[in-house]
Amino acid sequence: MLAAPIMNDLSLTFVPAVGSVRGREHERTGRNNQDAWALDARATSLVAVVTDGCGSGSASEVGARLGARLLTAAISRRLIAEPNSEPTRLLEAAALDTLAVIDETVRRMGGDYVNTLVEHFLFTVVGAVVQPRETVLFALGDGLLGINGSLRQLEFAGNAPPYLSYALIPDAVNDLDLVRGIDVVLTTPTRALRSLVLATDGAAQVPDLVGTADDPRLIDKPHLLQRRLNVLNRERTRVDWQQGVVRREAGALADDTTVLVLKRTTPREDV
Amino acid sequence: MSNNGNPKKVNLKNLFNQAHADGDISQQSLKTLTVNADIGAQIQAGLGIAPDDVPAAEVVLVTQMPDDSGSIRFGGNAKAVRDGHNMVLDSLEQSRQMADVLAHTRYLNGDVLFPYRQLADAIRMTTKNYDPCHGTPLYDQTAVLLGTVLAKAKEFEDNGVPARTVTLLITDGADMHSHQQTAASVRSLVDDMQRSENHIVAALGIDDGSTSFEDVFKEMGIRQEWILTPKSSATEIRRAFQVFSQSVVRASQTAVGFSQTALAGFTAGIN
Repeated sequence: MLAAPIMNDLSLTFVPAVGSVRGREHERTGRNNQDAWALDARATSLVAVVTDGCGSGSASEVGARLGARLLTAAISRRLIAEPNSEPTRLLEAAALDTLAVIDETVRRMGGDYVNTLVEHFLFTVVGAVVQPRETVLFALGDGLLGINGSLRQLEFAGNAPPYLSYALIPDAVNDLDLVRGIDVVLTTPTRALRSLVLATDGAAQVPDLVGTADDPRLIDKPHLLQRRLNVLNRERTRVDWQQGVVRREAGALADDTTVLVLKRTTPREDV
Repeated sequence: MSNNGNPKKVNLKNLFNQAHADGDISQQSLKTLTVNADIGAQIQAGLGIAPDDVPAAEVVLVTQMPDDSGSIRFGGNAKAVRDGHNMVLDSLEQSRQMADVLAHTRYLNGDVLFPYRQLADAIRMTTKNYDPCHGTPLYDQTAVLLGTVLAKAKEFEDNGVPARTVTLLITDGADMHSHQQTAASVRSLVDDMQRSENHIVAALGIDDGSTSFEDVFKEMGIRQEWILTPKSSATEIRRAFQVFSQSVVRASQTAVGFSQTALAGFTAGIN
């Protein structure tokens, strides 16, 4: 027997569009894109997380990718188990779940614990939880978050944001302030949500990021977001045929850049 | 939904000027492709699907120009050419990269069988849509065809989608009826394309008992390793198309496979 469709299925009400490109500097030095993202779309909740691996780690893309997936999955699990949990408490619990897996992974990887952690598992987080009543945007570290065309950039002095995994460094192992540092940055009633944006700090260099995220074509053609970043970051060659000179113009985005947009596909009164 | 039937007009003059400024095409090629409004209109007719309507991360443009001159009919080769063209499309459709391949077929006398579109929408040659009873304007129509390939590839690149191309010219005679282009003007286009390493231009010359197709194609700039010269028999023509099919499938798999195939020519497709 077919299951009856759930009214106002959030996974159908909002469509995701994601773009991610390696920054100019990482391209120049042959390093990977150390940004990552994850999305868990269900009928009753959408969880999205964008992470930015610490540039000083040699393989921060590992932690960024694992962290995005682990935190997204942990939040979703907690939402199912404790649907009425207060957002800050739920995020804190999910962060601890994520840290437990990272801790176990680092131990199993062997070698010096702190070194392994620092080389692989330092990443910032911006994320969103969309539930039928309320939408919550949260962060730990720098990045950009926005709702309905407004955008907020989180910055830290000296480009030294706190990282979730700092909580696993022995000297700070009992310092749960870092975990509690997952801040709820923005909230809105979901019925009022037209679009939301999560982005790593590299996206601050994207011209008209708000306009890009608001582009109504993304609903039917979400791949256009990736293409916009591709075009921005394309190295161009210009030839002065008369002078016989070739000029190279580097891509516009110095840092790895990831933008995740959730856009409403149906009229607001549907939710 | 694609707009195959009503494609948006592309400003070809700007596009080719930009291609020249970017170093993609030489002054001679720019002149060839902008010599008059007629060539622009012919190129426009082949452009087809808009990049925004193709949700691929990269595309391979596979373009064929079957000879529809009267000698194909008199030589009894119409069926072999139809079958060969269709075999190329079938082979690509069965390959793993199907979603990323766009095809376009224009006959040697300028009729567009179908503009660039996804393989699932590609039209097979039949006795109803293929009437080989015309002349052999090889240089004129090769310039139009390669202009179409360059324009489409540039259109995708400008939209953040890397494009590679494989083009096959099919003829059973040397140029007879060109009015605007010469072997030298075609050669300029082929040289520019081969220099970028994203394009393969191949040619299949069906023996007419008198023409040295190797000389004809080499004068047009086509490399020896991309020339096939089957005898005027169904078996030989089929075998030549099989070799091309294997090469084009291989080239469409990955960027590395494309480069290797481009260098090796048809020998890369022989098992």
